[in-house]
Amino acid sequence: MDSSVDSHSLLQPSCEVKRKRSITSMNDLPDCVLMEILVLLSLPSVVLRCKWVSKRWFSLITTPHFARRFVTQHPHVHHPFSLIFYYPDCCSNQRLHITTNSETQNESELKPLAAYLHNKCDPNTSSLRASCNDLLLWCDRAEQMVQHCPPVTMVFYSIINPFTRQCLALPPRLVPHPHSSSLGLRVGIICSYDYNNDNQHSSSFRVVLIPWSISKFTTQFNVHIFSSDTGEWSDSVVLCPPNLDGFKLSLTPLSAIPYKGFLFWSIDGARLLGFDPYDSTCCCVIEKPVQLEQFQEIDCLGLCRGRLRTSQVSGYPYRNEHPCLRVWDLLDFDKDSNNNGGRAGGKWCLKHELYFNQMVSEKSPWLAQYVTRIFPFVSVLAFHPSDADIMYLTIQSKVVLCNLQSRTLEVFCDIPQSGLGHHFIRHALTFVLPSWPTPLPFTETGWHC
Amino acid sequence: MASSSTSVVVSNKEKENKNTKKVTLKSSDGESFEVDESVAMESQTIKHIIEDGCANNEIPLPNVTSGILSRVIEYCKKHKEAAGESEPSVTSYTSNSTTNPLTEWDTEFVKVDQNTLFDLILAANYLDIKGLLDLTCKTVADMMKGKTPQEIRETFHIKNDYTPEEEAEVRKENQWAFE
Repeated sequence: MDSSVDSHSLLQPSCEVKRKRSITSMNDLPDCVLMEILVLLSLPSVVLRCKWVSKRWFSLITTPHFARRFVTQHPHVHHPFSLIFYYPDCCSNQRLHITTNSETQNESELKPLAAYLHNKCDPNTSSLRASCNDLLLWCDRAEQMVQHCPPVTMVFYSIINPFTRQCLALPPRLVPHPHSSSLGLRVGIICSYDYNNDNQHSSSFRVVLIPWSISKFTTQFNVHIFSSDTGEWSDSVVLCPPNLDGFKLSLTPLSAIPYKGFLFWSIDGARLLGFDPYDSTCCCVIEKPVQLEQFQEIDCLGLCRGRLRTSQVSGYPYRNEHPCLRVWDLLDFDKDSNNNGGRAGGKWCLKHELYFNQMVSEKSPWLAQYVTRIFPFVSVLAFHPSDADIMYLTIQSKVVLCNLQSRTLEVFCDIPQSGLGHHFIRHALTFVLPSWPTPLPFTETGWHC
Repeated sequence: MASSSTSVVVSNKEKENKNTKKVTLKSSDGESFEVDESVAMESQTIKHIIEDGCANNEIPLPNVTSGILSRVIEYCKKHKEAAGESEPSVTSYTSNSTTNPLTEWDTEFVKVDQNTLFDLILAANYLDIKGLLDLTCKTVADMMKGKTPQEIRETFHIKNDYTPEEEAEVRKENQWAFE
């Protein structure tokens, strides 16, 4: 078939016709065509491998234009997610667990991510503290300055995208803090990547630290904010909304949930405090869910299908009533809290109410038996980010998938070598891979920290 | 309107006339190819030239050699024929691409060496033939699947312009990407 080229080359070439001698290769393709080929690949293929083929490919793939084209090409992509949490092992060391399996997804997508985090983040000296989409806030270390009075701590944070393996170290920050570990600090990260915008600042994030001051009621608090736009920390004093008489930060959970431009922490009375890091005067409060068990806090705060979700396990473990799991979604959140005198519009709507003695298990009947015994230890771990019927619990060294609709419990994965106190697992961070990974601004000195 | 029988005869005749209208395409190495205008119009570039009335005797295509042009014409002919027979049996409801006869033909069509394949891509891009561009791009993408960066470079003769230091950095952080 290809000998036709040779037979026609006998025709006399005129001087303006170029006789093709060179081999046409991929290097001869214009950028627009190369892009059409690359967008046909899977996300890991493009982002993890193709970026490193050559500098030309790197610069092509890292433009918002490419991201747009890629997302258009893959409209129905699923968003794999991973739950990240710490637990004590049998030797009382901290271990990091990163879930990599799921009911429908290809396991291998997340395994490299887990391996990367395990390698990088030693759970005994550092901790992953907050998450927003695919960015994780990582506290590398905290050095307490004992000689200072009042005591201060130097904290070293980094932002990690474990999927693209970008890591950006933030400048160290001195915070007034009585404890040597950074565990008492309230932290949050909020990020956004608008690839429809070719602007330099289309990718932006804010990190917020709230030093844990004395646990008395307060009407104002200090915040430290890191802005990716300025590359610097700043601090401010934030006043509570006028109608709020005072509040106390909850003991747990410590990490904030980003939602609609705010970072939300739980405060006393099962309320939520929302803070806007892009407008540090803006602060709002969300009242507690109506059906909440009195004198108890919420167990879990997270996002599901783009809504703020919270849950509470009540009537347990030290009472005689039947334990019940309730789940609420926040509806009608009105960002402009000024309209409501500082109370954000938005109501918690009870979505699920599940009594433990109603739960069944097909594959693991022992689970259903366990939750109905006298003192079951059941922790709420996280919500499923895109399936409103599913949430994750920890029971007896296992992560358990609870289907709120069908009232079933199934083992999702093991928590290997968990030791005593495994039921006091801190709440999981949720890593969710968006349609296109969130890029981090590179530092001037190089790519990585 | 005339009676139905005459109108059918008229439209058939019109069809015939349209079908036999031809254009001549001239490759970069001076060879001329006469093709049905409808086939040539599979290329949006050529379609615009014809519609703008700029096609005189022949349309010169200085970016396409005769070898490639003859293949492109083959593709356009085949796909035009298939589109022309728009009976339900051809536009298969089964949507199973393995039983779609064109898919098999397309697969055979792109079984060529890399040089030819990239020439076809460039020609499809220049001539703006979406189906051919999609087909050839997909073929290249399939060749890339599952390959490490080094394997991709080797397969496609791409020069690695990272310095050894830069590459060591990348390799350190991305060791799983190179697995």
